[in-house]
Amino acid sequence: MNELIETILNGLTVDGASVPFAFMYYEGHGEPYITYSEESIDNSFSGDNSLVGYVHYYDFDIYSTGNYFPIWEALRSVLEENGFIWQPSRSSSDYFEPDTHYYHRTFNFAYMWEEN
Amino acid sequence: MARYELQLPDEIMKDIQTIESGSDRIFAEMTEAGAKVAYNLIRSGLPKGIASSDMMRCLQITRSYRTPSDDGINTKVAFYGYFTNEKGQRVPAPLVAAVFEYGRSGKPFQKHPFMRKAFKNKAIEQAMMDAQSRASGGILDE
Repeated sequence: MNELIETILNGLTVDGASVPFAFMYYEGHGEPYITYSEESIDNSFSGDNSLVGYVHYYDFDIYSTGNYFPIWEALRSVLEENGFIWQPSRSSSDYFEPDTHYYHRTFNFAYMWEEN
Repeated sequence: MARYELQLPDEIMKDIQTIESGSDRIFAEMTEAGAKVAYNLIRSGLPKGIASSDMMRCLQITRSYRTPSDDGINTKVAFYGYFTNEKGQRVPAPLVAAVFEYGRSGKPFQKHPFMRKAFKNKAIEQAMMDAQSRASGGILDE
């Protein structure tokens, strides 16, 4: 999954510039960035006594000292093009970190994974 | 013109009246039952940092209430109010819960999702259906 996500995020650009991203943690210094991590796995499907598929829920955290909306629009677009489905009920509201001056919002996406 | 009249049996009419007059109470008991399941699941999956702190007092179930915007009946499970942390600071419990749930940029606060994981739909729905059966006296079982 992480390889798939990294391939997708590699192509993410906002206003002509790429947005740095990392798995779980990124040491930012004021620039906007995205982290991603698995939130949970759920709803497994079985057939003939073996696992057929399940749903991955992934968090995509946007950190930005300014307007994060263009990043969110680009992120949502590129993820949905690749089969991810936004989960508003698992996503966060707006947060602000007074010490780092980062605005932070978590967007959760579901991805159906099929066993080969 | 052909005409047909049907009179519903008194028993069915009484059942319908019982449901109509008791719908608010039935929905309230259903949401309360679902909220209790979520509350217990949240407690069982709490990060150590919360479970061992004064913040536990802030995890509460509300009374069931009606929301005017959609006329819905709800019961909430959430962190409310403030608590004193280990540094002696008074901090808002919902904010700390959100930091655990969604993380923040600094290393010491890696996320530990625990609220979202506690909302297991099947267990909550089952508790609500059981409550519906109890509260309606079995009328809504079929």
